Amino acid sequence: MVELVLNLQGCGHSFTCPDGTEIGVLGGLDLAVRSGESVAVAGRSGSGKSTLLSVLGLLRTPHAGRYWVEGKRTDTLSDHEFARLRGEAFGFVFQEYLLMPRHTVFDNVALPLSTGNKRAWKDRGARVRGLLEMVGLSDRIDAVPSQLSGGEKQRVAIARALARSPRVVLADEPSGALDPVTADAVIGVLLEATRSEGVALVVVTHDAAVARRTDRQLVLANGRLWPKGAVSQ
Amino acid sequence: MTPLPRIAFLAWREVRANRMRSGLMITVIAVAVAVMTLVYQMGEAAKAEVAATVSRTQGAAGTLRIDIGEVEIWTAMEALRGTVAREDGGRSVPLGTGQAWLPGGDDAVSVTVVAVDPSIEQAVSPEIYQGRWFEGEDAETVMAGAVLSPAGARQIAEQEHYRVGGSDQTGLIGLRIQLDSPMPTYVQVVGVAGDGPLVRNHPEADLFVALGTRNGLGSLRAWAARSDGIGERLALFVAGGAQASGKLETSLASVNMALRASGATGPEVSGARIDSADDFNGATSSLATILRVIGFTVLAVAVAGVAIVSMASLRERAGELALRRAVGWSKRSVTVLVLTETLMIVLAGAVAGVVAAALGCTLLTKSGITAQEFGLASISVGTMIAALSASLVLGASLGLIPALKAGKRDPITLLSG
Ligand SMILES: Nc1ncnc2c1ncn2[C@@H]1O[C@H](COP(=O)(O)OP(=O)(O)O)[C@@H](O)[C@H]1O
Ligand SMILES: [Mg+2]
Repeated sequence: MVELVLNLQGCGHSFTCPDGTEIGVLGGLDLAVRSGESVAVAGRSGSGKSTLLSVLGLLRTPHAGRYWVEGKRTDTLSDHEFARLRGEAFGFVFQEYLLMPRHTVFDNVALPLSTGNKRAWKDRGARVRGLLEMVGLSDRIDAVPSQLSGGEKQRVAIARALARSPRVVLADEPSGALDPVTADAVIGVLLEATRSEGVALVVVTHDAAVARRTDRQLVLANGRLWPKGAVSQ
Repeated sequence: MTPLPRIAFLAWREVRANRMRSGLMITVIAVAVAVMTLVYQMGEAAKAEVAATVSRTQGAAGTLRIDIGEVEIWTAMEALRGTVAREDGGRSVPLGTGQAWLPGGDDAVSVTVVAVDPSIEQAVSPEIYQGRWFEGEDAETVMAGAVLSPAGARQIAEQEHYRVGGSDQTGLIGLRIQLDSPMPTYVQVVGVAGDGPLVRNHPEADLFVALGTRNGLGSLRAWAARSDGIGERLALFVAGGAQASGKLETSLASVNMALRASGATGPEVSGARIDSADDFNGATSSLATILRVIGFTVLAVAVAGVAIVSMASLRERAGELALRRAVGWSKRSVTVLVLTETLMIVLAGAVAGVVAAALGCTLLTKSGITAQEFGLASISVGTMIAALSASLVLGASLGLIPALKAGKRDPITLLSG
């Protein structure tokens, strides 16, 4: 039996506009992610990719559907357990990097460990150094974000996403703000790092070259996920 | 919930990461706390000083008025060596045994002043005694009528070649002697204890009652039991036991019992506290309270400033706070983090302010520009504790507003782009 790390079924979500009209964004969406698998999600701007990631990452509770994380149902969790599971199971990478501007690379990468257990917190020095080595930034450990290039910042963000050894990394257009050459390198780092850590990856990307390097490619359209090629973009 | 020591560590990291802003806020708090500390100390010092002076000049236990019918008896229920004072402007004369120096005499004479004549103050110029205490340099100008113990009177009489006994003794009355202890005072002898001829021959003899020196109430009892016709103008001072005023009720009850037991048929003895210690202490208490309010207000404004800056920086910190929530921090942990940052800044500022105030006082005092006048010779531990706890209370309450707001930061905002 294949271990499912994420299992989202019949997910539906809509937003209410200020004028009262409802915009359905997701509807009847199913997604199952296996442990260690990498999945690329494409789709038009506004198709709901970020909304999907927020649901997957337990940042948002969808209006409809059921969701299991590592076999655990999420709709019965208390707020506290919800936040806890989010910290344990997920790492996030954002298009705008979202590093803490006044903190060093070290502190940025160590951030998720602040919610980890005692040992993880105590051993954070070694963990952060190991991760920075993996993303090729060992020599920038004491730098602050303003001293880094875009590609370097995103590599710091990747190290941060992996710090607490999550089960899944959720990346929302991680190379969207980078030039093609840098983007390719950063995506390479993201794929390799998640693979070597045995972490599943759901990456939202418009970049076909990026998508090709993942295990599975999906397209979000009409509120659902389709295999690549099933819909015209 | 993220462990507290870890949150404290991260709060410290946050404070350090924003060095410039933190430094500025710490400085503002430090200045406010220093001002508060000095102002507070001034109030406390004024209060303590007045209380000490009042206690010294009006008697630690206060001055009492004892009424027996039409008669008023003034009594400072104090240790024998204490000080008697009248309520009207703080005229004070030591009661008790002291060294007396006679004008022109070589040797000190040991005398015991057992009572003081209240009427003699008419002979003292008003500007000297009104609203002022007679001590230190003023002491030389103090004149008080003193009733001496018989032994002291005898000694003086011998030295001054007065013969004791008979009407010749009236020669002692009017003699000015300098009493050296417990504080330097000039007294004018107006009588001798023991109901002797000196007292009887005094033109206003009915003004004085000789009292024993050991126990004022005992003397009063003895006197009351003996007296039959108490004149309307009679007044006297008695020296009671230390802190006797606290036992006024019981003391009076015992006097009444003694009077009845001795068969006296006169009216009941009643009494009340009549010194102005409460007025003085009350006035300085309100002054100290006003100063405290001023100091607290200054500090509150500074801490509010820190809270406002913290509030304003939430926009800038939106990403960081949402990120903390995204990696699993609970709302409460984020709130505690931001509150801890505020408390660290406020506490650092408070400690710096208290140290600055204390150092400032010490330096001023050492450099000779005395800060003593303002009661600022040093900062008391009580003041330091007050300043620190006020800072923490203000920091915790005002800092809670931005902290709670920070906790409400929704991590979803991270993915809205
Ligand atoms: N908080 C919100 N309130 C109202 N509408 C929203 C909100 N967030 C997203 N939407 C709408 O939902 C749709 C999907 O948004 P999003 O998931 O960000 O799309 P994508 O990431 O694919 O570009 C868009 O039409 C967007 O305008
Ligand atoms: Mg998006």
